Amino acid sequence: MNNDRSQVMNTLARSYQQGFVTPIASDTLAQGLDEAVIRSISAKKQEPEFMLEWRLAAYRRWLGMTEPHWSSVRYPPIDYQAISYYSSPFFGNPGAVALEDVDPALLATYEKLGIPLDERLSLAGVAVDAVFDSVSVATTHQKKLAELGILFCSMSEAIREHGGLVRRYLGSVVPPGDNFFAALNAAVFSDGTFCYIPPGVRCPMELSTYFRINAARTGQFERTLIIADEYSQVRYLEGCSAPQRDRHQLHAAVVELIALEGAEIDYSTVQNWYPGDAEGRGGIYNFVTKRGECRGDGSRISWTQVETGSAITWKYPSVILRGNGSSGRFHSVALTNHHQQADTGTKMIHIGANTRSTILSKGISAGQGHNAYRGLVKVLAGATGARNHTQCDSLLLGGACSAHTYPYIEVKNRSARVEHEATTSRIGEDQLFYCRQRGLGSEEAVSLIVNGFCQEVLRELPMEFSVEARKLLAVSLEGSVG
Amino acid sequence: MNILEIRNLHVSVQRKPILCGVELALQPGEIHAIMGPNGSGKSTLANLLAGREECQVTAGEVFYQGLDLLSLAPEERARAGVFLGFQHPVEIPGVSTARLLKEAFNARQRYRRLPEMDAIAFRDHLGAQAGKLGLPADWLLRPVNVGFSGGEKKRNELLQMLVLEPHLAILDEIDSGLDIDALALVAEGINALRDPGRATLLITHYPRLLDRVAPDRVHVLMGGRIIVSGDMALARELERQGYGWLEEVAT
Amino acid sequence: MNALLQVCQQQLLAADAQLPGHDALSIRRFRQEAMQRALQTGLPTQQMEHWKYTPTRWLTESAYAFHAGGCVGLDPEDLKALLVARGQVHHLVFVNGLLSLPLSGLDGLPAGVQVESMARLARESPEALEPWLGSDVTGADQGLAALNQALWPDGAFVRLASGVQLSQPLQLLFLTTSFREPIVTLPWSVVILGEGARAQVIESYATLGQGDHFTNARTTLVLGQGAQLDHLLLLAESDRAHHVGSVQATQLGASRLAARVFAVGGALTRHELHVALAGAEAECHPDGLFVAGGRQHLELHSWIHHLHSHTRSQQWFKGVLDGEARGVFNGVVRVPQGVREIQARQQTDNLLLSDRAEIAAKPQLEIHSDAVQCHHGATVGSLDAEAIFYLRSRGLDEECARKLLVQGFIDVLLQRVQPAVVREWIARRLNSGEVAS
Repeated sequence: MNNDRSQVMNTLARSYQQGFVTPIASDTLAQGLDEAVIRSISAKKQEPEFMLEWRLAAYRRWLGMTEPHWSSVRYPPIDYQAISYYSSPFFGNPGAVALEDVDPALLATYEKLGIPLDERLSLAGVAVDAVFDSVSVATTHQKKLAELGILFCSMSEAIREHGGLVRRYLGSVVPPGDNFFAALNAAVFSDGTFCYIPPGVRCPMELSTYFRINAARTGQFERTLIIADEYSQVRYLEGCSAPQRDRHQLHAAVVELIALEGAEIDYSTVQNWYPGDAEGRGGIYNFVTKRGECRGDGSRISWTQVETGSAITWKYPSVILRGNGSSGRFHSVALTNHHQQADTGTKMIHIGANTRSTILSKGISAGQGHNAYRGLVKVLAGATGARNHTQCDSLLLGGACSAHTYPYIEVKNRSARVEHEATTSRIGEDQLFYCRQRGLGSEEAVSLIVNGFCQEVLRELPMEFSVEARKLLAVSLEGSVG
Repeated sequence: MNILEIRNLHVSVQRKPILCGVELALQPGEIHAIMGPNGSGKSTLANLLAGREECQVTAGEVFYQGLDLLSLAPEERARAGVFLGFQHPVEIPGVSTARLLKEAFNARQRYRRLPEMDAIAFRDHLGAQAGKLGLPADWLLRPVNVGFSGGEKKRNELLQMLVLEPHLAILDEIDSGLDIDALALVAEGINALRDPGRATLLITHYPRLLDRVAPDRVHVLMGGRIIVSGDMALARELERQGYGWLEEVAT
Repeated sequence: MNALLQVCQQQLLAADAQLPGHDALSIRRFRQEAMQRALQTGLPTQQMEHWKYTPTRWLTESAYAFHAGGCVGLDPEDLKALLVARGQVHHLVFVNGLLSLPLSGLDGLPAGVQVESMARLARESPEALEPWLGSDVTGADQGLAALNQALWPDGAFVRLASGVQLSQPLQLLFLTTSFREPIVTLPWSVVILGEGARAQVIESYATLGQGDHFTNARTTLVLGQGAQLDHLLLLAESDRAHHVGSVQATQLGASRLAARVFAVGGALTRHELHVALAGAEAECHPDGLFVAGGRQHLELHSWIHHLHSHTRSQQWFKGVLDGEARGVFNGVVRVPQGVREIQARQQTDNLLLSDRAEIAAKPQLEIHSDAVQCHHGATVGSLDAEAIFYLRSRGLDEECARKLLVQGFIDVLLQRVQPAVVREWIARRLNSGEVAS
């Protein structure tokens, strides 16, 4: 089998395919962070006063906080003064730019990424908000959605146009002082996606955001807020990529989901930030706070994520199950190769009666990759009849990678039933041999087996995403499996 | 006095009506069979008689040896001599069948103000009953139903019935999943308890068990009611024709 | 500085000359270094990851004193229930931290078995102790373990020569008699099995009276090539007592350790098991059970370090919680890089019997090698309603049904205890607690 291993290890054919840079002039703030920077971001976006106050309060809290280091990931200290907190391909007020006036190079970038922003060319049934560095460049299908009362726009536009909703819900799931990175985000977030589905409306198309970091030495701090009003339904997709650069870049996003009574939100992510090269140079630090709250009875929030990119991933998409009979789900595939590190998992906080949660986590470590599942299942005293089932499996490819599992289970109600199961294993030699005997190359065999390992999660993704995710897994595995 | 008398019984499970006016009377010494298609309410009837809480009585009465059965807790019914042979007996890790039966047997003795049996005497009693069913000695020391096949679970139910000697045995599909030899044993067990003081209610899909125990009455439960009653001839008719011909009567 | 640390430091200064091994430089230095570590690390706090769920306020709020040791006027009859049947075990009895020879019984120990007081050994042949001084497996947040290393006054030293088999179990009973002023005891015991040796050692902790005291215990186990040790620990101190203890085991090739812990006593009882599997084909089978009621807080921790290829571990921990009790299970399986062909299984199952009982479980895997098969499972739940109904339909009342199901839940672990005389004694001790079991 060693022969297999070396064969596979020698194959480093394709590399990161989204690693190109768009040569484009940009309005970029000088590196560094102080109150003036925050005032300047707020002014550029022509925000109302309450937003500026909100940002400044968050910034002051952030100053008093220290960067968390309880996770298993390791990285050199981040110099927060060496980052530019705002970079826009537009000069002046980005809100006033029509699609026709956008630099063609920018549109070409999205086309190259497979996401045409021209509605005539775009995928049927998917509305896209495209975020480039710090700003949203275009949002498609807005008109059609507006007919149903669905608000789908950039965060900047929402702050200007739908201040009431923003004021009511922003920070209500992830408060500005929630954690170090969430506080930083609250202070400096530049754009993101806003989405509101009115009562009883089933969103007819999939909503999505594509995040692109282009400029060097900038950080991307976007903020997404999705509100599903009573008995509404929405499926949301998120994709991302960045150029290949040999310096690390920080991405500290916040996503808040709110599901009111009977509402359902499905949130899927295919995370493909630049992972760094085979020696661990460069790549995105992806420190993200994602949290949903099932605020109303019978509501449902589902997170599905495929994490193949980033040098470091630190994220725990969580669900607060407040409404009675609400349910939360977390389905995850995290793959770390070369020197990538991932510390990811979820928190399921059972507050309401008869709440249900399901966790399915598949971690794949290759090369010198480090992969940790960290999860909390907490059943509070009032959560009578709560149920959780957790399955977390790790697959190790090669002798230099690692897989850690840190589940925390806290139960304060006797009628709760919590089950957790975890396994760690490698690809069986008999499995590999079987595939090879049927004519598959080692690498194809590994890819096939890894795909099978992730099958239960991948099938949760919308079709196009699922195909994309499978390709990404295959590419990400190259050159390091055994 | 009837051992069991059911009058105009209406039962709902999770607010859904399952039984809608069942009438039934069993006299001492009788064996009755209840047949019927899937979902007709047979198991609900069995569970209700044993006192399962999910079964909500919305109307009607049930008397057991003149007692108001519905007012009794499940264990009181058991001590008074009602035995339910479960369709799907639960597995109880760590608790041996011998332990369970000793507790159950002595609880009944206390209820009837009879002397409890000591460990040794009970072991002999149990051993004798197990021997009748051809069960190996270590069977009794294994945790209740854990890792048992479907047939083994049914034999364990039968063993418990023989040891507890109920006045009214309700056997819910005791014959499902049994091979022909096991079926003979089950029939033998049922016949062994046939005496003028006891009665048995058999719930089954198949006449093959009935051939061996010769029930006094056969009832068909459909749509939550007993729509026709008869003798073995009815069971044979059902075997030949199925339940389709009865649908008109049911509606 | 914390009061307990202060008392301990004063004790080291004041009683230094009386502590066993004072005349041996190695032991004296070891004690001083350990005290330095304790002062540096400080006492555990809930900010430390592995103490996250452990209340630590009592450590700073209670004033524990050192006791001169021993206790006159104890009648062997007082100990009857605390010992496995007389005549069927060898036993050493420690009272308030010191060996009581009159209460002990070691008749008929086979040749090649050394059983004696650690204090005596440290005084008379300290060189025999030296190799085991620094043999603990971990760790970083072990301020309390360091205090034990600095101040242990006595304990049992057990050594089996190669190939020797101890046919009767050996029981080590650590008894604290409660005083008006709560005391702290710090026993350290060492059990060494030579190549191919076999033994069963029962370590039990108990209180005479209902008072508070603090036991800070440490046990070192060393299993030579092919040795087999059945180590059984019963933690059953008074419901006001505090107990923090660890068992540190190092296993050489092909050795087999069964480490069983039954925790029922103490206001707070926290037991840590650390096993280093350091030779091929070594295997360990840790089992644990806590049964907590009232306002008890019971914790079981296990760290299994697979330091060598071809090693196996299989763990099963269970918890039963009633009243307002809190239970914690924390299990870690570590496989370092380069180690291959590991099998590790860990299971924890917990029963909550009351509305105010709580459980925190944290089964962890830290795997740095692909040549492994690791599995862990955790469940938390209540008694199965279906099983309760089944038992009631057989005539058992609800309370009896619950009791039987709890016993069934526990029984799986109890049945693994051999011989029967020990199993029955453990069952009696479990039942003498206040919890319905």
